[in-house]
Amino acid sequence: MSTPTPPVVVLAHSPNQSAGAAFEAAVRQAGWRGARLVILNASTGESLVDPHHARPSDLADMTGRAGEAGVDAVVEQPIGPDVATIILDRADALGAELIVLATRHRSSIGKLIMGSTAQRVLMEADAEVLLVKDTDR
Amino acid sequence: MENFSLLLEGFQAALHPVYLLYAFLGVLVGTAVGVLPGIGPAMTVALLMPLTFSLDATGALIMFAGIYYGGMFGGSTTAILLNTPGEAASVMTAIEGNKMAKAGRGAAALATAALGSFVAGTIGTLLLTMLAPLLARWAIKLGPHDYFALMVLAFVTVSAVLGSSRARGLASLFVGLAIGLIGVDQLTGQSRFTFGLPHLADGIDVVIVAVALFAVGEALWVAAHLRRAPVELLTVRGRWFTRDDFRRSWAPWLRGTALGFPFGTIPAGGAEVPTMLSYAAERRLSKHKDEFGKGAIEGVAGPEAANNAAAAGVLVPLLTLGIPTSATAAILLVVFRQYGLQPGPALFANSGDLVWALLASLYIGNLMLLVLNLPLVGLWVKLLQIPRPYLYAGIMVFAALGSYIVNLSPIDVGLLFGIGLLGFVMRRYGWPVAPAIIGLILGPIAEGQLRRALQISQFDLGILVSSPFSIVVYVACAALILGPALAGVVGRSRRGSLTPAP
Repeated sequence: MSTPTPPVVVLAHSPNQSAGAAFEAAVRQAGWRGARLVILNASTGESLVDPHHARPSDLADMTGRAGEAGVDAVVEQPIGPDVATIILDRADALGAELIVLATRHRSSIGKLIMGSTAQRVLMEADAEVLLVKDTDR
Repeated sequence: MENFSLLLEGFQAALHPVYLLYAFLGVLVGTAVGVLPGIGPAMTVALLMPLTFSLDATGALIMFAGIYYGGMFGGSTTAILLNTPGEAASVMTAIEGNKMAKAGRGAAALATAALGSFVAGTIGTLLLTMLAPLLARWAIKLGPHDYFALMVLAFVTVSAVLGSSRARGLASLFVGLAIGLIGVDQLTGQSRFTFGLPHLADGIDVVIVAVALFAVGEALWVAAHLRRAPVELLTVRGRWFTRDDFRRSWAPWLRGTALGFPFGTIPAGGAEVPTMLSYAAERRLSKHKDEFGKGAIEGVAGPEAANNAAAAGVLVPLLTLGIPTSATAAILLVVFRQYGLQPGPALFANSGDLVWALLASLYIGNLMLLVLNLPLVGLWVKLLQIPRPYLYAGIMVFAALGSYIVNLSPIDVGLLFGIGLLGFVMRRYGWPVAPAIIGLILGPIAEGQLRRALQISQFDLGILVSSPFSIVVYVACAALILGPALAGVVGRSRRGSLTPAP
């Protein structure tokens, strides 16, 4: 049973240093698969100013660059208590084939205190998961 | 000249390292709460009051005055960089300031706001220093009926000016007056609204009501709207301050000061009105009219100066008459009374040392604010990243702790949350909180003055309008209530339409 709609690649985007590498990987993957790219920039909406919340201009720039690579990209900025849950739910609802995530090195204390979004998505997602590391280091 | 030497003595006291530290702490905390929308100096002073019982009066008042001035400085940062005014008095700053930041002139907008605040704050404090002793000398002649008239004027203006409608303002005022009545009547010993509960015989402590309405009410309100899309923070870009910026800013600063200070001294609800007037004036007078709406520096300089000058002006009636004209001033009045001081004509005579040290600390605080504000913009902006749950959980801990400390009674904590719920409902339906606070604090004082006046006159109501001063004040009250209504009716009949009056 094949659906007429193209497959979906979800990029869980958060503006940080490894985001660029993850974005490029996601565009490449979507290109190979002939897939639609959904850029998911989830934030908790708990603070007035949130560094995880991407600027509209940056997001527009990203969809533009995806378009140049021949990939159809849309942006979603959902808000909810837990970012990993949002990513998992949206990927499920979109029937995503692949979820692309950026990861970074974290200290053991950091891992102890804060849960890892990447880890939860990796363990619980039904789709394939691609983790992209920060390449600058 | 006599005042000048007294002021110098005040400086001598205020420059004491410990008081300098209190002033520094005050302006630091004040700027922080000014930056954070929804948390203002009134809430902060109310929250900190129970925790500062161990400080001496001068130290506590210097710190709280610093918070008060700092709040006015801090509000502009959020207004300019986020388009979200931190304080009601910064609403006008946001209009042009945010446009300037968007156009890459954020640094200049912040600089003109900070310098304007400093200039206006210093001129305002200077005017306060000169005017207050004169007014105090004149105010000794006022009788209780004159005071009562002034307080009625304060009630009327605060409820008429603040909030979205006069009906809501008055309703909020009466909530405050009603809570102020609770307790045993001082004169006759009758219980009022105590419902037979012995705990209520002393009334509900003002601190508890203020903390409940400001802090708990706001926390519940935020909790009800917890998740909102984050706001885009503009970066501080551009040259700090050019010669051209200064040329365009100095006149608006002075005009803003001239508008702000008198508005602060009359009971007109603090700094909101003069900032609006200043913005309108700059818009009309500017040589760069085309820039208004696109980021005109005059539109930042004028209103920012006006709100700081008004902040200084508010202290004039507070110190000389004991009449607060804004919510923060009302809380400051409570601080004075907590230390057994009664602001009014006698304050300068009885506690001159304290008053002059306080005035001197205002100059120092202003200078500190100027030095602190601009270099630390990055730090202030970081505060906005604090997740709301953490921020308000902290506030709630302080609120509960503070209200318990007041009487060491768990019943007070229950009252705190009960009244906090009322504060939430008031926010939900657009009732301004400030009139309730002013009604609560000024109500019992006004009642005392009224009864004193009637005892003097042996219950002849004529005494209330027996002096020219009180008649003038009552006429002003009537004009304030009826004026806009009449203007609305006239305007409506002229236009012949049924559009509601604003």
